[in-house]
Amino acid sequence: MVRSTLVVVALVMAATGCRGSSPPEDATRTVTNTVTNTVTNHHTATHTITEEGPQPGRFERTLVPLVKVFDDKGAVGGHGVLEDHMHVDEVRFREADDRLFYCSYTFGVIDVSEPHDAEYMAQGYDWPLESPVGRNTGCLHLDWDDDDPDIVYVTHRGNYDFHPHLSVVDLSTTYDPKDTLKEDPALDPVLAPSFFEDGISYEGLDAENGLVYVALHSEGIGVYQRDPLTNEMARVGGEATLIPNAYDIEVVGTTAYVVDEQQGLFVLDVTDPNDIRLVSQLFTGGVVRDLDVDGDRAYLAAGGLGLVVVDISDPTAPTMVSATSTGGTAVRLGYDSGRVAVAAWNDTRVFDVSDPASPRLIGATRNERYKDYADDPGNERPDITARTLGVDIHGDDLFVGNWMVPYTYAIHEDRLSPYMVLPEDVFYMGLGTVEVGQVGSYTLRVTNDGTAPLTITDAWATHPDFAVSPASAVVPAGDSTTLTVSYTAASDEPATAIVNIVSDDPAQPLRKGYAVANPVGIGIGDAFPYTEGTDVNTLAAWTSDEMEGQVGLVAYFATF
Amino acid sequence: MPDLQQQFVETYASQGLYTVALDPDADDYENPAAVAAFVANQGVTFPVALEETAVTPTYSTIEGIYDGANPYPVQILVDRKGMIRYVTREYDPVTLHERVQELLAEPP
Repeated sequence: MVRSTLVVVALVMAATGCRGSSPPEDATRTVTNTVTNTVTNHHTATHTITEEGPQPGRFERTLVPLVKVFDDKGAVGGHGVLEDHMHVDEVRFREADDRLFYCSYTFGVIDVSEPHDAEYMAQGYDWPLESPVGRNTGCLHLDWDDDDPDIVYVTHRGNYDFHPHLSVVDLSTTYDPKDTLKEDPALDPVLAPSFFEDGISYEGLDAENGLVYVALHSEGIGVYQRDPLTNEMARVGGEATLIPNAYDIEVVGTTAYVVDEQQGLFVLDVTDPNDIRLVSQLFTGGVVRDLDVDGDRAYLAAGGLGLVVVDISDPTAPTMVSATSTGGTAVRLGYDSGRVAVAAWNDTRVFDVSDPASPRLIGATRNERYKDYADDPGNERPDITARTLGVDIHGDDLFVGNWMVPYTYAIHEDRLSPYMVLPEDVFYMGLGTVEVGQVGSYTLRVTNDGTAPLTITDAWATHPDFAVSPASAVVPAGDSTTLTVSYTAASDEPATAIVNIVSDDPAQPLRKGYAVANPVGIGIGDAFPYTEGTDVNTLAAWTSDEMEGQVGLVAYFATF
Repeated sequence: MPDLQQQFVETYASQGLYTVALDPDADDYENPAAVAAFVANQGVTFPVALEETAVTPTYSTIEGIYDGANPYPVQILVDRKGMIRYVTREYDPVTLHERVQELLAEPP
């Protein structure tokens, strides 16, 4: 009962961004937990908190969540379909009208004039492309020309079962939503017919100079123009020989900055769309998929290399200024007023780049994918990380798109706070087979990527035969420590525990992991089962025997 | 997959890391050419195969231990003796580097 109370308090603080943990008054408390576990059946664990360890600091969140943009107001505009699993790939803020545009399984627009009260203006639009397996043909990238803000251009590289497309969305019409909750007219987007070219795959784009410049992967870049009467697109230029795998493009005047996934930054002269010339190239390393240009700087999202800053003051000789780790893999970014926000797959990070040689982390935030275990409480597991794919920033407003929906945040740069990072396999810490009377263990690394010391005040497991050591620790900013999760086997039956880590990280006062010993099925410590398949290129049989005698990395993936 | 190629294949293949990408999605079984086209532009040099879980249910078995997780991506590390040493949902290159290096450092 006491444990439940502590957890509720922690979650309320996380939601409000209020103070972190306060030093408890009692020196020692004994807490009795009742835990239901489907494997080990109902049991009771006694957990003693000894508070002789370090005392927690008092911190406030640097990035304060405002709105998860998903509520009844979302039914306004669009197809009236509320979505909570949108796979948001890109979010783009437009200062002129305080709108946030997004690409996901569908396209939509959000009014963020009041970020704490963000509302959908249009939601749920996708393109009527044939998809044999019924996948949504949404968009991955978008842009607009400031001279004609009612026209938004979108692209999708295509997929296993539908065409790549370059499309136009016309936002010039509204309708009176008589049957909705919103008082103001809602947007009524009109989707023009999609544009295709054989063998062309459309990725990042930029609308400038009355033209639309698109990164076309192996086909370099394409230049397109919209017919203002029909909204149909036509190809008016391009270049297909200079760039091996173009992923994103930004045009400034007659100069185009293009990122190649493997080769870094290309600078092109696009004065003549039919005679595009190479100005320079800079190999940066990393897997580069997004860029933002401001003045003499280009900011690149470079995968595992992180945030890369390039000096482009001399377009004929760009130079790499810095590469800063973003923890996970940097996939998108946004720049505004000396700050860069990076979507780093497992979280979002905001940097002060006023010193481009040494970007300074302001704060980070991580989302989780919630699953309700109300009907199966004995099998409860920690909520997993929700992958973050899209991001944009404007002043102190931060916009994030993840696997689920868009979110808005307020940035408080004046605050310092710890930020706990756990490896993603914390959601399945396999201790393998543990013989009766033996001890199995798992080493869990805890990293503090924040700006203040992280104090772990309690680390414990819900199952009495599991233990976590040490139970408390202080991790300086930028440093890491390890916890050992151990299991002393009283039987050879499967056993699981939720591992709780209580800290003064104001955004994550309670992180959870899942530990498994003597697993059902296959897991850590078991032989990788014989597996066979069909090589998609040669159509020859592939079997796991090919890994024999080597260290094997098996990566399961999907084409959607 | 490009990240796996650059961070792991190009770094560790010469040291004895074997990498394979497996697609277990039933929607894709009948159309390997489409999957090949999907990966063709990603610069991968390691084998990419379709795994029919009805034939060898490795993925579905692994998936079963991850209640509540996204179905993809999943990475599994297998040591030289064929034993599973690391499984993760989502993509965590920092930890994956550490674990790969640990396994490569183990004696054959």
